[in-house]
Amino acid sequence: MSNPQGVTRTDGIMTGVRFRDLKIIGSTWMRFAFRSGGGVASLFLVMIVGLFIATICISSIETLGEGMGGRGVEQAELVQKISESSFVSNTLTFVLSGTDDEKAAQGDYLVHDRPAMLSLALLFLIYLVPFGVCAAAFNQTAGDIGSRGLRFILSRTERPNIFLGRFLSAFIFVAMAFAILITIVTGYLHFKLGIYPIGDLVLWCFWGILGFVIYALPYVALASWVSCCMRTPFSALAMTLLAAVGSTMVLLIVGLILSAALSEQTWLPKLMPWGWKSELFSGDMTTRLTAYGAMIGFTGLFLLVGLMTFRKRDL
Amino acid sequence: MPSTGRRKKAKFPILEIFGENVESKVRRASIRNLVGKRGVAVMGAERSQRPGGVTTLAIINFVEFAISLLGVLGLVFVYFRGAAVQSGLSGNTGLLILLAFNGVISVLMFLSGIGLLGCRKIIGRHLTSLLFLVSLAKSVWVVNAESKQFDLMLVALVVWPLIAAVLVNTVFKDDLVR
Repeated sequence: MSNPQGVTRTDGIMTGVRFRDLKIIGSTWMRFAFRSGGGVASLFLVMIVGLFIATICISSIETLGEGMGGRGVEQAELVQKISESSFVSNTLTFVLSGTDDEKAAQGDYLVHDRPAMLSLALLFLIYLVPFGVCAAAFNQTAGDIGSRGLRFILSRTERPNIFLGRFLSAFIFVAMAFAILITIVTGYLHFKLGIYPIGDLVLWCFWGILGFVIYALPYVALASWVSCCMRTPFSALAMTLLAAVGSTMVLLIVGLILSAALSEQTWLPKLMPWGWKSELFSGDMTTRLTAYGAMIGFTGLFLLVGLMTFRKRDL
Repeated sequence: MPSTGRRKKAKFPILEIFGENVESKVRRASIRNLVGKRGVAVMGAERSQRPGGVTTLAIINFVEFAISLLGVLGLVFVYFRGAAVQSGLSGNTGLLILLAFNGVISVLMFLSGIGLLGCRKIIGRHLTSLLFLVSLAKSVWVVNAESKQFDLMLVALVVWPLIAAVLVNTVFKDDLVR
């Protein structure tokens, strides 16, 4: 495309993106994340806090199950009793979103059609995702912008390569951490209790990992955007947490106020990725795919704004 | 003269690895030293310093050491009160073995933390690997021989030493050489 002066314009938003550069920048950022300590600390947070949350969630049902199992209850009956326990139903009512009918339908799917204990663990662990992502991905570009370190890389590659390379690397890091966590929980449920068929557990584990990975995508993109606006890693961490968690809290509070004044506002939380988290495990495939699409949409939006900011940023 | 792809590839990671410290490197050395043939020497100098990740691992070890020490003291209290049976352990022998495991793990955590801070090969890298093996042995013993109190926190006590052992033997292998 030519402008009136006849000069060819080649400065599109993705101009200069090269796979080779993305690979080098991504792999080196991941290594640097570990070496600088941020990666180690976030991995510790995800693993230890995640396993602690899963322990709290599972141990109460485990105690119930062991108590019933010890009295000679059949395996199928044990699964049924766990699914129908008041702890499970109360938890689902608290965790799931939507109208009462939607909650009932989704709760029925999660508890009866899928391994109930793994469903509960997933629904609890998904609360950890925004915090885990913020801890892992906050310092993608902020530190290097503050120290002017990026200037020396800019002479060898285009800005989108730096931005997208680090985004992809942070995403892979987060995805691997949560995949390991969910696999450990699934393995524990199989080897310790063994009340669910291995095929069901593995399949639901796969869908769980996929849901977590897709749910983490917009938060990583948000962290990329916020990070390129900041000059120090600490301010990037604070602002990423504020953007990811603070904005959701504001929406929830506004939703509560509006619900009290008018009627229940189920659409309001859906303005942020947080509002879609329970739909990611919905039994209705259309609802689930819609939630996946929403996550990808949020990611695209945050990435686009972040990339536009980074292209104009004084480095 | 157009530079070859090989030269570009050689320079690029060096700049990325330096990341935030690149400005101080430029102050100390010239830019030519940083990106030219002597860039590798600068990278070698960087590696002789302790990375932040090793410091983080050491701090986590010290925190776990403090928690583990509390556990050891609790077991000592149980042993002297003769409450082993009530706590689900099969007598004093089982309690002593558990006490020994926890004591060894605590000492290993403390020593490996010191070793990591000093970038030591033996008491840093190798003791961290040994810590994983002892933690694994303890978990296997608890599951098979004793009260079968297998829960997710027991898994967590093995998973983190495993991650630490993998990190010190891969990412930080060249840093822990003293």
